[in-house]
Amino acid sequence: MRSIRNHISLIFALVAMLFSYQFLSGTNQVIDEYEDRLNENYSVVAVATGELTLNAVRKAAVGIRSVEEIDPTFLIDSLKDNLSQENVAYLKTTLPKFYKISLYEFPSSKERAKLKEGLLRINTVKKIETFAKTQDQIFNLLSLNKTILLVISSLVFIISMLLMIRQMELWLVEHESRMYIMSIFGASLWQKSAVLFALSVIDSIVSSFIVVVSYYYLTTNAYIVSVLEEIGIHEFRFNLFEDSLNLLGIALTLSILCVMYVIVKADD
Amino acid sequence: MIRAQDLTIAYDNETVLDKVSFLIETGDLVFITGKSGSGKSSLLRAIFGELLVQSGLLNVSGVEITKAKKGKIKKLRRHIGVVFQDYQLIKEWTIEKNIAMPLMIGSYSKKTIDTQVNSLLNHIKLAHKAHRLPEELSGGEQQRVGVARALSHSPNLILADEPTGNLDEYSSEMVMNLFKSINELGKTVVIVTHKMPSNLGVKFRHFHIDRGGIHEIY
Repeated sequence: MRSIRNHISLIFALVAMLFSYQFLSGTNQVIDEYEDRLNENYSVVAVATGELTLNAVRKAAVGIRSVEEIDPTFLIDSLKDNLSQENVAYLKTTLPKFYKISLYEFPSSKERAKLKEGLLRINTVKKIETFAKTQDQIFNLLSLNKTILLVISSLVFIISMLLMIRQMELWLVEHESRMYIMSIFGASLWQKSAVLFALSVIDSIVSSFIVVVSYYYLTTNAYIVSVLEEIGIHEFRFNLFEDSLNLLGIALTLSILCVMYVIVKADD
Repeated sequence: MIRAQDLTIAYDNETVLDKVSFLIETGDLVFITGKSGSGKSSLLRAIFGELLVQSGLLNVSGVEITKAKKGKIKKLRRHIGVVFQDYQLIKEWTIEKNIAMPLMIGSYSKKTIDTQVNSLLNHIKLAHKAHRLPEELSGGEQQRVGVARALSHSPNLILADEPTGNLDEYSSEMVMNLFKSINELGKTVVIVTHKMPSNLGVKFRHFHIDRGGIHEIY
């Protein structure tokens, strides 16, 4: 009974850590895709008196994906009814050029200000419109979500690590007598501690399994998927093979590190 | 085999052995006696490197214990067999596995381990209890297992700390006979005891510890 309780303590800590890692990674994935989509629909408009080439724009600012000239016909067409043909022809010759500048990544407000400043340094560019306000609100909200999740995950990680170390110290006390006898007969640190490594490997496998099954259920359950879709989250994916290996690797690495920390400390 | 020179052992500034010198040769059967707290067990613990000595030199099988690093002491211990008064068997392991432990530490092959363990189990007349746990055995039987464990890796030096202290007369005699037969094979045996066995029938040396000094009686 005591042995089961000992296992549960470590499994609980590992499950908490793996869940927080998986949620962090899943949420980051969703946010990244959200940002990509935001970026796809986002562009800066430049008003210039002369031609604007991609090279010239890239020299002036970083992160530029493409520069595309906007055909002004739609603008002239909307004014055509109120203007004479001569005036329309005049307008065509005097109208500045409009460019749609796309970026590789959605810019923060600071990056946007820098971009604007760089583009305005090009002599022919007269005005830059970055359409900041609405995009900024969404972007800031996503960034805030990411930060909050990172802070919570970090706290869960620290607490779980402390719990794991504490549990391994208890194991060490439990196996103290056997380890002492083995050391009298010249056992190495690894020979004496083999049982601790074995226990941590078993618990890592069990906890990874629990997280994989639970997470797979969450990402495939029809009700949960529909709720997520209602709030616009469609990409909450879970790769059973890749993510399972990833979780097992993390659990094994962390638990073995904890065992090593405890036994080396005890050996000193 | 064991050479001590001006050896001092102390606990928190209380000296238990004060600048003692002695020499134990290969193949000796040695009894060390003394009152409780005289320092006889401390001397034994110092010989297998568990207790740090305060000053002097202590050479065991060519290893200078007082200067040796942890790794060197671990290697030395693989050539020493230790028997304890309270048996110190691993309670969650079977008798068989307890005896095999020093061989497992020495990374011997499974075949060698099986052969050696079976031979020792027969020698101590406990082959029929090979798969039992220590708690299922009597004190005398547990101590026989303790002796078998100390011999399993064929060490040249066997150290025994009050090996018959918890045993009745019959079991004590049996365990003592085991030590005698080991010594007859040319192994060095050092036994710490508060009471010398009677009618041993073999040649032995007797050291007595008293007031921080060690004296060879015969």
